[in-house]
Amino acid sequence: MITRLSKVTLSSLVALTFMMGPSIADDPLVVVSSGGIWLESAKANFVSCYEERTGEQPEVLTINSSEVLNRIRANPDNPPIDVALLSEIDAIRAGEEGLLEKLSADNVPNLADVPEIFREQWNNYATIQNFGAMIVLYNKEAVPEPPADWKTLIDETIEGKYGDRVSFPAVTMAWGPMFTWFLTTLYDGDEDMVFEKYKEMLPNIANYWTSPVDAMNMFAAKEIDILVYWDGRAYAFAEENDWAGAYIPDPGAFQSAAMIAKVNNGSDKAWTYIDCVLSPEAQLGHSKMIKYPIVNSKVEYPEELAAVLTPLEAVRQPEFRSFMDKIPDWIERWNKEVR
Amino acid sequence: MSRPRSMRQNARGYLLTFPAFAFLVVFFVGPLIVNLFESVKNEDGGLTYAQYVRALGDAYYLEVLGDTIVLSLAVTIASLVLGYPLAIAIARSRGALKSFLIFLVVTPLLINVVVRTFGWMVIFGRSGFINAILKLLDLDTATLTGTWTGIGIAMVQVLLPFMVLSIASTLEGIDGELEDAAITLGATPLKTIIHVIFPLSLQGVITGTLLVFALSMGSFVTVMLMGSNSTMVLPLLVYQQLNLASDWPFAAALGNILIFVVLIATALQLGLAKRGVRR
Repeated sequence: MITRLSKVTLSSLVALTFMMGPSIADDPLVVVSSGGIWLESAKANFVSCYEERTGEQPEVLTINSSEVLNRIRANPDNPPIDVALLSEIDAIRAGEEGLLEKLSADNVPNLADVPEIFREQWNNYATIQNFGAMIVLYNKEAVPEPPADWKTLIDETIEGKYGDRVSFPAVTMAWGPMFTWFLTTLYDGDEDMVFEKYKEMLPNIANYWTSPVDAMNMFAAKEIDILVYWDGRAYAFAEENDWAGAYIPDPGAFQSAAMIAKVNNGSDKAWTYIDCVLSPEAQLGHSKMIKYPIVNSKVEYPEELAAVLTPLEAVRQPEFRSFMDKIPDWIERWNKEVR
Repeated sequence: MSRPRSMRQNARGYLLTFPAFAFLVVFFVGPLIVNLFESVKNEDGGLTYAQYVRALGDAYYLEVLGDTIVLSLAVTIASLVLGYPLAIAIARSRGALKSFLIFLVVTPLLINVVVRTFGWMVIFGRSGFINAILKLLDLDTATLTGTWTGIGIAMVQVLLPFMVLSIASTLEGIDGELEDAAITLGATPLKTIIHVIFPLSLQGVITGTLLVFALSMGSFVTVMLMGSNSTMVLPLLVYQQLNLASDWPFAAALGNILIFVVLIATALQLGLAKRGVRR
């Protein structure tokens, strides 16, 4: 009986080895994309380019930035991801922890056409793939004349001018700390003032949103009249709905971006994929689909697309290192004070 | 049955539990040990209890821990009160009706938690179903999103099946003649349930309350989507520390405190239940 069992086990192991052997040798490149239209765009523009160049199909994971970071942190010698898509701060952390490999025009030729501003804060461990800004989406019927600048919007919200039909992002939303940094720049770097404003707005805020889907649902259902939201989705919504408008209050907005990077110890095929992502054709195709600006300087936007993209001059790139160590304190302060 | 044969059968029985035991050691106990180590190590590689002092020495974190326990208790009690009659109905029904009732109870588990929560948000929204009804009746509208009540309702919906199925399986094993005897001896239906059925179904009630309480203590998606800053629970704090603050040691300490509280609550419930069953 035991002998028979051993035989069965042995033959199963041999069969398994044969089955796994080729798959180990031909492990597909593992890349990351955001979901929804982002995933569709990644498949249509980046994956297709990679397939054309290599004849291989990559595996596309749709996971968020913190999960990407946690996965590559957990297994740095044999990472389960080759091309990471990270938030700006996670990309800085990953670079500093030795989890990413530096990009250069030698292994990513199209990087030569990406201006330094899109990668210098990350010491070339990652580059921005596309960027956006947080702007104001509003109901034209309820608010015919929306405030021209951020400070007025905040003060009028505190005064109750819009009832409790305003929604701002929470500090605990993924890009919340960046928005908080941006607000501190409006109040001469005074963090206390910003948290005071958050507190004062609370009675007249429908909610501080953490889920973008929920926030947009509330606006679409006309449960709120003013929503501080991502530009691409806001412009797209305003385009489809006459009653909605979108604009950038003065003095502009902060830049938020998706960072692409090669994971250290990941497959060298990652260079090809990143080069595809940064190629002018894929970048333009991506921008057309997601309605966000991209970074390859060779790309020329068609007029109708340029009209709905936030220009680079209107956005300010956060100085991430000036506040990233404060984020845990900001979150604690947010939890304790703004409730 | 001879003694060596019985021992052989016992040994075989233990051997059969080995895969599950090994699985739990590797994938449950292992991560718990890693988590414990993560929570007590300092930057120099030494040991420190600083994260626990920070969590247990701060009124805010203690308040959140208290709120988490109260929410879980409320959800457990509500599930028991709503689930017990439903469990009786399932245990006493037969054929297609029984299958239909079980299907109804289990349905919430077949829907993704995010989708289900968004459903509740639509129902509870300012212009949602409930407020539409209230407006029709010319009553004041209610705010349920961002409140403990709204979160509690959404959590009871999804955790109810665990309570109902645990109790129903015990009720099915109770001899129907005991109930007949109680009624023959003059007990009302309510008294029969309180003095005969309920004590006999206590094992199912214990299983259900343990499951619902433990699952409530660990729930965070519903709270994250439906709640606000004033409805904070411990698992959500763990999530924030991991994914936003990137403070793994503190997240690990909060996670261990959560596990410790659940273990204490489980031991208490089992202790109380044992006393109840003995009586």
